[in-house]
Amino acid sequence: MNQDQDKELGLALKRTLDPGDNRVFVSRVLARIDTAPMAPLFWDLLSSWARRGIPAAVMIAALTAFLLALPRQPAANLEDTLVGGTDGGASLFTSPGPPDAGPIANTP
Amino acid sequence: MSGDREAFGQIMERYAGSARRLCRAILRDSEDADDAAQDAFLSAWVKLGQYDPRRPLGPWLMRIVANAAKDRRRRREVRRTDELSESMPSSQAGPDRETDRRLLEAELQDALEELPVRYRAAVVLYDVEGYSHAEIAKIIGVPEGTVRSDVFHARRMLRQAMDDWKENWK
Repeated sequence: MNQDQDKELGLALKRTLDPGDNRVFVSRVLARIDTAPMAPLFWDLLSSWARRGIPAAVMIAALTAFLLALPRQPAANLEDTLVGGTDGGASLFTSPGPPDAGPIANTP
Repeated sequence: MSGDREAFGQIMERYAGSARRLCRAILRDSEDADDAAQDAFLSAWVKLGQYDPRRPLGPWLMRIVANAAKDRRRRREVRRTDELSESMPSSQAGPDRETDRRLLEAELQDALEELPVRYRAAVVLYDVEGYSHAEIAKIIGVPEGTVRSDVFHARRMLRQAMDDWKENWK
């Protein structure tokens, strides 16, 4: 409630704008509510989901596209990692001679 | 659901007068005003879930009412631009117009019609409905300082009309 209401003017305006009995008006609105009570709520709910869902979906799609576009590195090969040669560890098993221990023995 | 409806019916009974007066102040036509008030209450019914019960109900509801009236006014102005002079209902101005009260009402009605719509809404919400400047600012969506200024100017013009009436008829 405001403190410095102009009561005289307020009362005169209230009389001027007085719509009369409100009961008919209230009944009319309640009748409208009874005939179509929930339909707008459904659309409100749907639109509130859409408001949050659409930006979230756009962000997820953008993130997925970004991850797919990243350059792929080949998977690490055990043979390359252990031996470093092109023929890999297979030569250990196929060579008729013993393995050459030179590289290890000559390491300072 | 029926409990909600009953509770909403009580809310309407409490606020219907304020809502209809505000719509009349904005629209100046009783049928349009009641249609706008009805739109507002139906909209409030649908949006009831969005209402924060920690806040006062009046300003929340009156904001919906003001928006409904402004929407209707915009639509009406698009529809017809030449009928604005036909303002408040003729049923309001009955054969007993000669009585003092009716004359004052007519005088005030004319003065209201001269006011910009924002002044009308502000002064009715302030002096008739008793809302604060801050609440009215939220209801009609303008800064609080603007509301103060609108109420001041509206009062001055309406007071002038009341003084004229007193001079002529008292």
